[in-house]
Amino acid sequence: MRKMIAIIRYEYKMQFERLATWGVLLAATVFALLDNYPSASNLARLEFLNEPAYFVYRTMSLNGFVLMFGLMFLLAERFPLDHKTGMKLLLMSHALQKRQYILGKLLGGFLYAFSILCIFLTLNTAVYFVAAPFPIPLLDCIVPLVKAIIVSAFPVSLFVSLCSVALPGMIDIRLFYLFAAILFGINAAYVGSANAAPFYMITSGDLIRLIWVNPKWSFNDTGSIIANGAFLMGSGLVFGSLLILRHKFWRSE
Amino acid sequence: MIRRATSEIKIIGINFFIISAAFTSALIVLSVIAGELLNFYPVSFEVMFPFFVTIAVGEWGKTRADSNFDMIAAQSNSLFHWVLLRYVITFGISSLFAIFCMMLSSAFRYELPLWELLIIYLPPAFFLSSLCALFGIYYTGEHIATLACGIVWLIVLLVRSLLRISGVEYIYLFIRYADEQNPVWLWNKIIIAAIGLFLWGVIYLKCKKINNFCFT
Repeated sequence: MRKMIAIIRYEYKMQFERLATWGVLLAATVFALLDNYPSASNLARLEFLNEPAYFVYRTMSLNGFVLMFGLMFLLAERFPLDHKTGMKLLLMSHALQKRQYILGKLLGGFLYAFSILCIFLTLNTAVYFVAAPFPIPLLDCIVPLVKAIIVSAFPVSLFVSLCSVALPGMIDIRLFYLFAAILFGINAAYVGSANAAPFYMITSGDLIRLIWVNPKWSFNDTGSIIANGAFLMGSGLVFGSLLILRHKFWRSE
Repeated sequence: MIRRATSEIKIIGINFFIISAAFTSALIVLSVIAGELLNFYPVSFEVMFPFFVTIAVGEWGKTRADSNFDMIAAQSNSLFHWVLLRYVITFGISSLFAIFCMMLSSAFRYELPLWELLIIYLPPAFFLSSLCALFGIYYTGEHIATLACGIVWLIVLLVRSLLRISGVEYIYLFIRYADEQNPVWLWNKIIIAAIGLFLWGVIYLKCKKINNFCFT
């Protein structure tokens, strides 16, 4: 357990010290503020921007999506890099179990992605709270923010981090990038509607409707919400487990 | 030159060909099964294939992230020639796969002539891959160039509503995907290609600067 915690700690700390992490966070924050900053023009353009819940919903579904795409690249190289630098061979020669190594990497990646997403949402909500040209009770911002962190940020981080760390351990990292680009591309092309969203939506699936629902659309499709949650958490856990089950990963025989 | 090109192809490795062939095959299958609902050509050749080419240039045609970069920069007379050759090989081979995919998918669903498909495909692919080559010559970290171009690609996909602003249609990267009937799409492609050429001017200056630094 102690060794696994050491790996988690290293992964978490190392990722936070990378300039690219802050570059991605900065790019996503600038994009979010250009899109959702409560300026007169944005308030005129977006009908519900005066509602804090809508702001959090939009920041998570649209701008959080860009952030997760960037983090996917940063997380994907964890296993290939260890393999390339010979670190994996070094670790294999230690009294370290395969399970400890993989779980350390996966959990470290998850905690990192979840923390960055929480920082991103909190930062944007704080800017919205301070800059809004109308009075907002603090609780009106905090409630949707906490909801977004629990119902959306957690499963999304789990999906992105576990898939991004685990899959390049099994397939060529470039092939993984291609798969991820196709999935993210399909997500980006999706236009929201009153009907249930496809289950494979990452940040704009029906889970996000637990934060805010368009008042013009009545939505009570619980099955679709469960399907989206199951896809995000289930596929993350399945890919993570596949790597643990793969014998060839740790010993070549 | 042929010997150098052969050597570069060997460095790129077999995975590049396997993944390119798999991606091309997947798109051909999609062209058969997609039906009329999917706007197949813009999605495939204006959005997806250019990003695949970008991944190829960033990952297989890496320059500064190459572990031998310092040695190559110190020993070659012109770093720019090496960067250009590596780019031309990765871009060229991926584009050959794209053309093959266009020809085969046109056999199953003829909607647009081949020359129009080429015009739809080449400028965004050239721009995004040139941007990737530019990031590749500036940053030493592996995957950083692909990451930066990936974020640009995704943001451009997400901001298609900006087309409501007059003038944006001239520089929006995926004009046929966002607005197929837009009359300025050909101008848009010319401008995108010109920006791509400008990026190569910046790459040339950067290579010259590195070369000068190595020889002084």
